[in-house]
Amino acid sequence: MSQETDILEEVTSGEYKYGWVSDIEQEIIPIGLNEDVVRLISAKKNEPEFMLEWRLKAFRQWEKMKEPTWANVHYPPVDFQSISYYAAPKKKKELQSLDEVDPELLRTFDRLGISLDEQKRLSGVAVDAVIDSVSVATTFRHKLAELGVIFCSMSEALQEHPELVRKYLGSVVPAADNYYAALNSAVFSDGSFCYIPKGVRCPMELSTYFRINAANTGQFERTLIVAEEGSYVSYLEGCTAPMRDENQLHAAVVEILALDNAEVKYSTVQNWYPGDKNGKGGIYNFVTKRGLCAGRKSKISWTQVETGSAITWKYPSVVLKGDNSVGEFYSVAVTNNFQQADTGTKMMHIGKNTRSLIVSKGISAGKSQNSYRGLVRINKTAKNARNFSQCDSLLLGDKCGAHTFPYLEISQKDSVVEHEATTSKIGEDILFYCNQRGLDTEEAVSLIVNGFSREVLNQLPMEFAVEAQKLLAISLEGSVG
Amino acid sequence: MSASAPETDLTAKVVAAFKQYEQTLNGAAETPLHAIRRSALDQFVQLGFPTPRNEEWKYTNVAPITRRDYRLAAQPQATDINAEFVRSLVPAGLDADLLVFVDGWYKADLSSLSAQAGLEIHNLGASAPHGAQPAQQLAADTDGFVALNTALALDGAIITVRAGVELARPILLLYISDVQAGDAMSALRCVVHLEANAKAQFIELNAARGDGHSLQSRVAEMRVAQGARLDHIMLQNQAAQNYQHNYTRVDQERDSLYRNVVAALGGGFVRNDLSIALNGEGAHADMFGLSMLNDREFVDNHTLVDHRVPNCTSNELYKGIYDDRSVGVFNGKIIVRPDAQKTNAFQSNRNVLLSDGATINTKPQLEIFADDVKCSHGATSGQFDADALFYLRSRGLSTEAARTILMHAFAVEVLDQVPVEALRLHLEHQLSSSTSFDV
Repeated sequence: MSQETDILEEVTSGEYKYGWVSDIEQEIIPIGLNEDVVRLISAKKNEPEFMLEWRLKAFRQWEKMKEPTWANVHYPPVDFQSISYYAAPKKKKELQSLDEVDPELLRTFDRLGISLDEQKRLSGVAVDAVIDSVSVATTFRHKLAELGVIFCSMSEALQEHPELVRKYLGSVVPAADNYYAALNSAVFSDGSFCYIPKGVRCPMELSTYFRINAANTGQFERTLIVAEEGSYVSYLEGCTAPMRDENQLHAAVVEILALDNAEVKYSTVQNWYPGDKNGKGGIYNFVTKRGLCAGRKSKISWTQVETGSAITWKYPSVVLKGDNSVGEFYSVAVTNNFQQADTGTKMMHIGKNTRSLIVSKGISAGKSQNSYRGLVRINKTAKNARNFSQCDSLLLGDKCGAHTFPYLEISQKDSVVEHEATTSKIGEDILFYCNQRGLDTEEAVSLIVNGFSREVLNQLPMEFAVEAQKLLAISLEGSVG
Repeated sequence: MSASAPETDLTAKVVAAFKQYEQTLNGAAETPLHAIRRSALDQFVQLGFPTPRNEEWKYTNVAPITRRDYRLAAQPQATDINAEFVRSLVPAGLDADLLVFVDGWYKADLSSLSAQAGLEIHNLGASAPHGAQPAQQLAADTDGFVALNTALALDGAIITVRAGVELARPILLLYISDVQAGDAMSALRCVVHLEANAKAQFIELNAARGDGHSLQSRVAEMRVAQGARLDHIMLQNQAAQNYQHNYTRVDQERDSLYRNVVAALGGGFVRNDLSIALNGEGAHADMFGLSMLNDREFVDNHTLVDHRVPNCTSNELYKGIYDDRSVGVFNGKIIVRPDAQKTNAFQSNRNVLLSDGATINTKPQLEIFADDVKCSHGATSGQFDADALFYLRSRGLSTEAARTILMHAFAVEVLDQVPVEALRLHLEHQLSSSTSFDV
């Protein structure tokens, strides 16, 4: 019951509550992008030579590429020369433990509801916190290290395990995969690196928290998760940003590699600043996420709750290469006010007996546009492949839009592919029922939306599920009645 | 001329044929219709033939069909196609008014019209001024193929059914390409207007004589006025060397009903664009399609239903069976405009692949801008139910016979929607003869 009261309270107060700016001393490089900037970023991070070359190669490719325009989103062109590509909290010395982290920074994470300290003691979730593209603290590292699990920031990984990074970086999302991935490859400043050795079941959930803090910066982080044979890991990601009038760019890349019998569960609650009620400001979230089930019986599962960002452009995909591998995609995307989301997934079936499941729930309110865009491809080689997709859209208001663009490409006769999509609004009868049981309309809508999204929310780890439910309610505040 | 796209040989040929035609016009070159044609030609040259980079042509490569050296006639050509050949094409038992076009030109001597009251038929070639208005509507939108048709379709049918008239006999439009002497390309335009409360059935059948390659371009503009009902059946069962592009634009007014059934049982390249605008409340559109392909056949069905006003409904069912190395494409788009409340739109696409070389690319699409709507779509691809097969085999049927029965059952759901009985029987017969076992 108390939880519901919480929701109600949040609903009534519900503006974007992560919109403050932390007063941390920061180091920001001048705006603009050219080869020197790429070199500067690499030098600042003291990276090995191969990394710089990789970045430069990506940058040269990016220069030749064109910004994609096929997504069902509209925004003024991004000026890539007016963004600073590196902003980091100033580091005074090497940190040995959390106690040495800038207290202002820790307060920042406290306010975000992820007290690194507390998390460390109580919940047993290992957290890597990334602020403006640079990892500031990773908890539980040493405990994980005992099992051979490597969980650290990308910069640290490059210093301490360059051979692993070199081997796996770009193996799932090549440097010049697409426009934003190429940009990311050239300028990414940090991110998380997870390596789960053979046969290890990671004992705790690994979590990364991303925050954009500085103005006029873009955030470009790169996450790489490698699950060796027979390993398991559950990885969580959260993100917020201050409220600013101008749009900020977030172009991340996440790569997941699962070898034989490995399983990776990736959950994210995306809550970047969505802009104000008039559509001013907000984050452009142009993200490439892809998993490769390289091994037999491997499994990659994406769960996402998308409530933030002015514009979302995101298609977490799974390449099902290993025989009997499994890909899953669970998504709730909520758009309100002037938000635009074009999100979905790709399931590429290559191996035999591969299976994929897509559950996508889109909720549009206000004047927002919400699109599902998905691809299911069954290659000739994918004998007995199986896919089921369910895409439902809920419309709350007559000024918003819900769109579905599924692509099914099937070249295997022994495969079974099913796709279903529905679009509707909340039935008057259901609302009436709730009302006559004593719930006001806003509560009723919150209840119904949660029910509508339940299938996806159930996939989230506990702490996230609670947060996600609240987020749903907040995002839709004011959209009813 | 503002040429920007690289010209294929066919593009150059089209331009040359147009110029040649223009020279024969003398004084008529200044008519409004010709102005439309000329601007359509410019548009075509600019757009060129669509490429897979165009989202609407993502899965459809027209390069192979535009590479051939087609004959392109700017005037009716002499042909020895006779009434007997025409009779052989007409489905048995079908009692219909017959309009025959050879290489895009109306052939009065091969056609047979029964002078039904309330039915007016003109051919575009003879009564050009009528054609000006409709051609204008389409010139601006869509792709190179439509522009090509606007420029090159010098003949076609203009059909009006007067208010309240219910036609007793269907109208059969027969499009024949004469490719005995070599490859040929043709273009024609149909303009159909059903006035208020009229009722009619149109049947279109594409055919060719000879072993050469044919490319037929047909654009139809149909207006279904208040309370009218139009049944529109398209029969496409051609050989591997026959290609066709059909663009159908339907405008529906209040309480009207339009039903399209397309049976694509063969063809080297078939592209059907069906674009329906529901402009008046209470209008309903039905779309049904069956594709049954083998060898290297290719059929692409594109539908667009534009719900522009409240209280309209649409229903769509497309089924496909693909064998050998055949490829099927389905793209169904439903748009619900901001004010089109109480829309009810349903779409379903079901496919069976019989061979590992066969491919189906399907893209059911919803674009919804109103909230009080019920819209859904479903798409599936799979095999015939193993349990059903087993049941039939346990009753003593061979695997082949069991498969044929299931295939038949799968297809019949679409064929049942054909409102003309003779046609339905004709299609079922074709279905049986195209499968190896006779049910």
